[in-house]
Amino acid sequence: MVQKVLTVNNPLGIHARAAARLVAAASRFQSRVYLARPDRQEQIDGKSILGILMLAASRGSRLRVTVTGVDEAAAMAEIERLFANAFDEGMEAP
Amino acid sequence: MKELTGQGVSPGIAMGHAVKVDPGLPPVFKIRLRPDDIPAELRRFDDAVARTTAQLQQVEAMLQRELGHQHSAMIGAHILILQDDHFSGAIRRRIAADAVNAEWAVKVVSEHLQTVYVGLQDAYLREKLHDIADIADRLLHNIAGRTPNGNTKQYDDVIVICPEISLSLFSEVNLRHLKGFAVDFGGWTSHTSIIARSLNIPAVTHLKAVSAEVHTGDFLIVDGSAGAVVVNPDRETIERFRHRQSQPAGEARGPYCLLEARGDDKPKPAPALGALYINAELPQDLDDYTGLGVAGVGLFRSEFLYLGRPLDAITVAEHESVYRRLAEQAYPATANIRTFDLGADKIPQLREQFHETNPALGMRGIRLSIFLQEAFRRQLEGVLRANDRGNLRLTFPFVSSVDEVRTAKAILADVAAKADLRHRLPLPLGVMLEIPSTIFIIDALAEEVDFFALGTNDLVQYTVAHDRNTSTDASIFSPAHPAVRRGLEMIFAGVRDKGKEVICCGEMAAHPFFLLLLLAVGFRGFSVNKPALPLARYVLRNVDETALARFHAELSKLSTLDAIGRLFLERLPEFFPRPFADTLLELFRLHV
Repeated sequence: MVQKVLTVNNPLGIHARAAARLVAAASRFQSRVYLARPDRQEQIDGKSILGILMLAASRGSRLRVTVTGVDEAAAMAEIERLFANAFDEGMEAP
Repeated sequence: MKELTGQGVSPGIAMGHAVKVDPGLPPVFKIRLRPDDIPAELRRFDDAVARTTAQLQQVEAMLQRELGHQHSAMIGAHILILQDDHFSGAIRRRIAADAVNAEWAVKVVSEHLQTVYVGLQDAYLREKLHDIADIADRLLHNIAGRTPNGNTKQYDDVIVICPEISLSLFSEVNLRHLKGFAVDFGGWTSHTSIIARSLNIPAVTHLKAVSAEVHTGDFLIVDGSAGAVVVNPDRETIERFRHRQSQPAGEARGPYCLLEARGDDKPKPAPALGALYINAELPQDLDDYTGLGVAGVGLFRSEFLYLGRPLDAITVAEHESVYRRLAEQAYPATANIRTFDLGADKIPQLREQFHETNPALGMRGIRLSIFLQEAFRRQLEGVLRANDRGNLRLTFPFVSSVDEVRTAKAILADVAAKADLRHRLPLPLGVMLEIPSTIFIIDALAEEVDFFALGTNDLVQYTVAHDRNTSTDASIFSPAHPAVRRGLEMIFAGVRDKGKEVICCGEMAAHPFFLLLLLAVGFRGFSVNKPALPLARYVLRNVDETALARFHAELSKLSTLDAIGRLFLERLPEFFPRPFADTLLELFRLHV
């Protein structure tokens, strides 16, 4: 099991498109992915878009990410990359 | 074979299969299942989920192709919501645990999710509840064995039949297969008619009962030039229309083709009487810009950026890239960007907040931009950043007072200061003249801005308090109302006295009758959608100034629409050569 606290840094927070990207990334791995607000115990399935949206994670909020399974290291690396790149927002030309 | 007549709002002939767009859903009832019926009900539900997923993937691919990734990504999120364990998983569990029908389970689960999202603080995320409602709707259609908005993918030549065209329809129907529209209501200047014209899709409105009389699968001919629809035509009629369709010129597509045949549509230097600009709805409207021979982009409507996604999702970078492309295409001529002209009634998160009983007079245009300042600021910053070459201009829509102009200017100055873009100021600024109050304060407004864009669609309907979508002869001909003409005269005199510029951007300029009227009042700058360019250019080149002055004097003496209509019919042959005048009269016979 690997665990990290990551900060949301895209301007709109984890809205639908960002959540969709997170689900797509998490679903590429076999490992289970959980997200939680650091101050709460309740874990959210990182492969559920409705669950992630319910976190209402705005810019600057911090999330505890837990990954467990055979490819947990690679999955965590990919999720960290997504957080660091502000969910690839504003990267593509319209 | 049956022929229906209405009003042609987008010229050309289309043939294809009718697809009825059915806006309504049957009511959902709760049915208790016997335990051994539950597996079959689950299969019924799973099939509907599979069909819904396939449809959404199709829409996603279409939007990706036509409008790019920014627009298709929202559909991707819809697919994930549909397949989410909190959504379809919860519905399956509900069917099994409560032994209820799939429809009822969909209703219960989606309403529960919506109440959860209503509780969220973030306005943006609250908007997701509308997405959930959308997905539930689509799913219910599929459970009922119907395709939402008609089964458009059965045919590759779709004629959409509906009570009224809605903007969202354009994201639903594959544009490659969409050949025409036949609509019960709506009119020449309704927004969808404007879009149909800019996409070159023939459309007929005011058919009154087409959606009741025509069935999905009927073969139709839509004659957008003559304003007629033929239902299940015989072989001979089809051949006749095929022949007209195949002819490059002649009466087939009205004056548009007539002009092409005469070579008058070929770009030439500026027309004799005034400057001609182009209006654009979408960036691709300007793909062949250099070949159009226009004096610039008179009005770039920026709302397409908003289509199908939240306002907050549009970034400065995206604005900048769209406007930079626009500036490059128009260079060295100018391009005039109109800031978002949206209404609170079109934005889910605001609809509830304002509860407007009369959105046409409500929170829209510049009012909404000032209210939702963050989205407005991002747009302004994008314009400033994109203006490397200095050929961009900016216009504020739906302005009713000097106060609004000053507030908008102050916001622009603040954006420029904060983004370190002060060197990009002053940016030539304009306001839309589309609310009658602007007529009476035109002198004061002229002190505030560099130019004006005349928005005749709203100006006309607000002056005569006659909805432009209402199907009456009076509303169709109301641009010729004496009060409208007097208002236009006051605007023209006020702008001229202050030495400012005005470009007529509304649909009046695209309509040969009303273009004559604008010319008679004195206007000399016009901006029209691409399909209307040849006709407007023809009018500007062929009209005689002395005849215009006489026409103006005659108009000024008339007080009834009836008399004005008759004057138009009498004078038209004097303005234009015979075959052209006849075609015009035939084409617009429904207007008078």
